Amino acid sequence: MQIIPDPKVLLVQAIGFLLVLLVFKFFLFKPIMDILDARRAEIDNQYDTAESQRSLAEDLKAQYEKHLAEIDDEMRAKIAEAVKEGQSMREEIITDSREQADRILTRAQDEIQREKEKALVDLRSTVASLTIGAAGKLINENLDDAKHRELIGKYIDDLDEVTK
Amino acid sequence: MHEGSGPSLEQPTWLRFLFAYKLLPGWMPEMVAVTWLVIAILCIGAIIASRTLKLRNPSRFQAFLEFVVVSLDNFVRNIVGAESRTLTPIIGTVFIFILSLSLVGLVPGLTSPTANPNTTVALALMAFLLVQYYAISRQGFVNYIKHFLGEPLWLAPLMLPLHIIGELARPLSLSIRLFGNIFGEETVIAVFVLIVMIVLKGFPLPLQFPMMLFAIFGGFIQALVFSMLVCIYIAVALEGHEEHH
Repeated sequence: MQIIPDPKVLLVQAIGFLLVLLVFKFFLFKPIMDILDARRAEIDNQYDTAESQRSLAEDLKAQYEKHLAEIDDEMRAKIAEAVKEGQSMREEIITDSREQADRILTRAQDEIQREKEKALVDLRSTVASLTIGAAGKLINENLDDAKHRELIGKYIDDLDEVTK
Repeated sequence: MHEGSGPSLEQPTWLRFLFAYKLLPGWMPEMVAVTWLVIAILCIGAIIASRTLKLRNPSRFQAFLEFVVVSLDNFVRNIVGAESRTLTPIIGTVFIFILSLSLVGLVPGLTSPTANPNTTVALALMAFLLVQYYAISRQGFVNYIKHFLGEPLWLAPLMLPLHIIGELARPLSLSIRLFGNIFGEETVIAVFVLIVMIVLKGFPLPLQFPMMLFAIFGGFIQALVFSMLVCIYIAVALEGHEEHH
């Protein structure tokens, strides 16, 4: 072998290199670069999907939070209403019962008064009869009933005034 | 060392039988057989690898190939820019091919094809053609010629030979650098082996081992230098148009 290259050998080596070049281009570099590109695209795609899903989830969350707040407000309003209603009902009941009690009291007082008066009248007439009877027996004489009843009534009135 | 006439640079290989049985013509150096062995391994490896590529869950081997391709792509992109899409396969093949041809010589019984000027000159000539192709296709033929003639046109008789020599010096330096480095490493290893055999009378002391490690490093560096220089030549050819206007 000598330092000066042999054209035939040069050609063989060049063909060898070109063969490797072709095979590498189509079986190594192109498929791997394609796969790298595809992977990059897929990752981009997944990032986009994740981003859109995240914003979707955030929208939903905001929506639900709004809903919850609304429900909360509604509930609070309802409770407040119920409390107010209950209070007014209590007032009403209290007023009613107070009125009723007043009525019952008044009626009872009236009745007592009436009974008392009736009893007084009864007592007076009984006392008058007894007194007249007693006095009649005492003097054995029938007094003028009407006249004496008047006298005795006056007397009892006087008694009333004295006892007062 | 060789039955041919004159001193030989060539070391005997396991593939000598191909010539002994006249399967390959006698004018062919043995390193051509080694080259084609490497070519066969690289091609079959690439074809097998391309069959199992997956988009998700790549195997370790695929991850390694992806790492190699991405590294080469970054390397080319840093020098030539946007043109890397078409250039990465070419420069990447140059790098892997030269690296494989340099490292195969470290296998006992084989020799480095890049330690033979035939291989390196063939590679450098193709690199030269590639650079000229890029220069003509990107600058246009007229600008390409103008570039050779130089800026003040009356200096063309002086500048033209200079430019032509400059262009031709590139493949010459590429091929001789690669050949010289790898051949030197191979020879030093061979000398160490001879020292073990002759001076130490076969005492099993692997004197050549550190040099083999260095040869791995050197093969890597030379492949890198070769591909980087081709890249730079192409980058200059691509920018040549803008430089002169």
